[in-house]
Amino acid sequence: MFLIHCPYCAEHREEDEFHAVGQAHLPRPPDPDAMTDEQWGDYLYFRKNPRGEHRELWVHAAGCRKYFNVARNTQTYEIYATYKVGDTLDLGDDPQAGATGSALNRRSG
Amino acid sequence: MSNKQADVAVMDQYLRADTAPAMERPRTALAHVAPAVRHASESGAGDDGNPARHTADGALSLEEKPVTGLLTLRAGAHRESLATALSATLGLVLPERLSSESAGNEVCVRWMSPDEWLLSCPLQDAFDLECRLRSAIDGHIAIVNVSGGYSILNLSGSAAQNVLKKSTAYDVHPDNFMPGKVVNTLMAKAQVVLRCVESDRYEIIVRRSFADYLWLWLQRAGREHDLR
Ligand SMILES: [Zn+2]
Repeated sequence: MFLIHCPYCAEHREEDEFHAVGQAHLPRPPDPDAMTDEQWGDYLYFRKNPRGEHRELWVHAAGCRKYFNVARNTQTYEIYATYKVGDTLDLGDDPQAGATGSALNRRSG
Repeated sequence: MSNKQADVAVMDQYLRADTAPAMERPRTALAHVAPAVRHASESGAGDDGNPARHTADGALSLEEKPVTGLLTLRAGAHRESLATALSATLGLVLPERLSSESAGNEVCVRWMSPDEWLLSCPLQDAFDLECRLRSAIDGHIAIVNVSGGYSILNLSGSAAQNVLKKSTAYDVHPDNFMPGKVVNTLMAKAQVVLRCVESDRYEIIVRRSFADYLWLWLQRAGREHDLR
């Protein structure tokens, strides 16, 4: 059992209901025509692969089918918090969100 | 308005009662289960010939509902318009997160997602209801008749909760899963819409291609309670 909090269903659900989609917070460049091929290629294909804190997009595939953001640790698998697309979340230098991030989840509503 | 209805009719899979040719009741996803069981056991079929299994002591009952009208309602920015149409047409409020609203035993609207709801009604009413909703709606809203795509199972009795516990990771304890609550979740790896209708009575809506698999799973899960 590994429970993930869906900010749209506002409940913790079994991980089987979710899929990871990739790195979160990738705004589309406002003026693609002004970019070099290299910049455009970086935007399309290059992703961070950190060891430690990371922000990812996940989807509640077997539930409400909404995409949301996850702040988690790729080394320990700890999830600091989940929050809706369009929201931001500042964990600071030292995330104190607790093992499931549920305290932060409650705060972000 | 009449134009609007004509447009809908082309896309709709069930015609209105007054225009439809006399047709047999559509076969449910599990229609093949009932006859096979009538041979094996006297009490295999439900009152309507739909597949059903019961325990002798009444502690557990599993049956498939006859084909039911199902409408998927989607509304984002114009959700207020859908709410108004729903209350004008059926006297129902648009359900909030993880909840459902019912009118009698036959009509129920379930929350599926922040911008999606699932409405069930008697099959013969689905087309008229769709038309009435469309004429009452003013805005960017989608209504799709998905009646043919699903099978609806009813699981009830004092042992029903135990069978659910073996089948889904969702917390079905009455403290968490109370009457009226609806969740989209996995049951034996199949995606379902699970609703607590009332205490010890649950409704499972599953894609019809998964219905046979889930039926066999639940039948097996009920074996410890002598479901037959
Ligand atoms: Zn969800």
